[in-house]
Amino acid sequence: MTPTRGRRVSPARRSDRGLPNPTAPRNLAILPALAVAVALGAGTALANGGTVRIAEAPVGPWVVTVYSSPTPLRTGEIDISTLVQDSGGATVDVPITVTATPVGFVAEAVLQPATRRQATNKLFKAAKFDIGVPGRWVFRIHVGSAAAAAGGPSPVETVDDTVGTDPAGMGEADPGGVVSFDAVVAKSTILDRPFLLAALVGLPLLVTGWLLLGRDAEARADADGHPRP
Amino acid sequence: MGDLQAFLLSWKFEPTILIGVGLAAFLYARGWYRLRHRGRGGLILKPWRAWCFAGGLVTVLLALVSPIATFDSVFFFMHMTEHVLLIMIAAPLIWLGAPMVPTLWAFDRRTRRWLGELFHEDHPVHRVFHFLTRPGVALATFVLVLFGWHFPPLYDAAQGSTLVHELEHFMFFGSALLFWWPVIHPSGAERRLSYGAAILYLFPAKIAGFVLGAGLTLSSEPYYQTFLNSPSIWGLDPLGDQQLGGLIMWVVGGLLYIIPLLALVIMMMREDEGDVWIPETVRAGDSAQARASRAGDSARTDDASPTPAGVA
Repeated sequence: MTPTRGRRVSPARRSDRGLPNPTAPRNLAILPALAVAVALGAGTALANGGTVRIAEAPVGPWVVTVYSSPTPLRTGEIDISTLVQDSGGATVDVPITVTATPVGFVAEAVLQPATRRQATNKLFKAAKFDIGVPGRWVFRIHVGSAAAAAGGPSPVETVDDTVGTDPAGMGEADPGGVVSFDAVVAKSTILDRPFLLAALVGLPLLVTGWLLLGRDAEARADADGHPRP
Repeated sequence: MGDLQAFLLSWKFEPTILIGVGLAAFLYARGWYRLRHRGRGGLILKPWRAWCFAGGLVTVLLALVSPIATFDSVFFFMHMTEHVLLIMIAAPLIWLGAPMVPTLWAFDRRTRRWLGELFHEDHPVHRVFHFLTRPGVALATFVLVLFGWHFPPLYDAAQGSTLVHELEHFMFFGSALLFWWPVIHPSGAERRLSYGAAILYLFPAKIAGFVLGAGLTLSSEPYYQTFLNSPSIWGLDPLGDQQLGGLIMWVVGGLLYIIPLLALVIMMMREDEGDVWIPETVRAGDSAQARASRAGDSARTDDASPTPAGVA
């Protein structure tokens, strides 16, 4: 059996057979493709996951893993999500609070409870911060009874920023502890907002293209003697 | 809440993805509706094409919004599933939906004419797209993107950065759209690849997926730093996770190639049998046209017409 090329068929016959009209501008397929592609490229909404900051650190009877998002951390909304596992697997019954404290500069420290409602991944609990000041920040994750005991952190703190565990309130009934990590939060730029960037770049291009090509098309229509659309 | 229930509830509703997919669906549906009301849509657009297009968009959502997307930062195999859905199912289904004509008809007459100019044979946009969908170029791009993004430093870079991760998805999906174009040829114009040649065209991509999948499955150590630190959920360690991901690419990806291969074989056989699947009346019309063509008074029937019918 020899491979053969498809036969040329008139547009009318193609229509009769349910085939697409060959005289249609074939590259228009790029439009829906673009719509989907833009969606793929522009989506930077925060979701849980991102970078593992603390990997399976033991805190009392639990093992805690902490993710941060976005990567790298930028001013604006920051998501800290926590997975707590016990011997039976992931558990969301353990109370968790997260504090964000600036290091070496004056800014308001923030305390947020981590909840499952804020978590995209329902095995996790997430806390969302609105960090407005760039610089080094320490994020402390208070687990179990330590979460309830977590008070307002001091506004200025100078600490060793290594990741570690700090068991606290290790009562038998409700053990708890604290894990922490530090990270540099950079200043957000327009590159972190691709939707806005696309609009700022795309709109002038669209307008320019419309003016140039639209006029060109009208000129051609006039030259051909066709009425303008 | 059990792990399975938690997994099933973990949807990632990213507004931009929902808007993009919604926009594509709206344009297609509006064009479809308008064509149907003009009485020509039924001839140009068979319902199965709309179902394919809808299936493609649903697959995009499944890959990028469903729990599969949510868990892609925790499990390598989920990330692999996401990519297989995008490149092996979503891209070909969208092309099978032949979205050009309905999308064009979603716009008013003036815009259609403008778009017609934009995508004309001699327009730079057309030339670039024509070049990118050359079989050799599309195949090479697809294989390079596939191997390139699985190179550990690049893969880890994509996992660690939101923007690079989006770029990775964009390139996977974009190269898949280019790759499947010569096979499906949704424009309906003259095929640049015969059915037989399209079968041969698929094999290098199938072999590339086979090599990559086997390499990941048979590896004795995890390649990707990102997943080394992932928590052990559901008893999967990083190596097991990577091997499962490799199996998905190797076995599931390989099996998915069988569908287009079979379809191409059937199309080739039907063509060789003289288009027995075409209604008798249509074939009679074709024969009459062929006779007229031989007599020298037939018009050109290729797609080089300067005024696209869809723009009229």
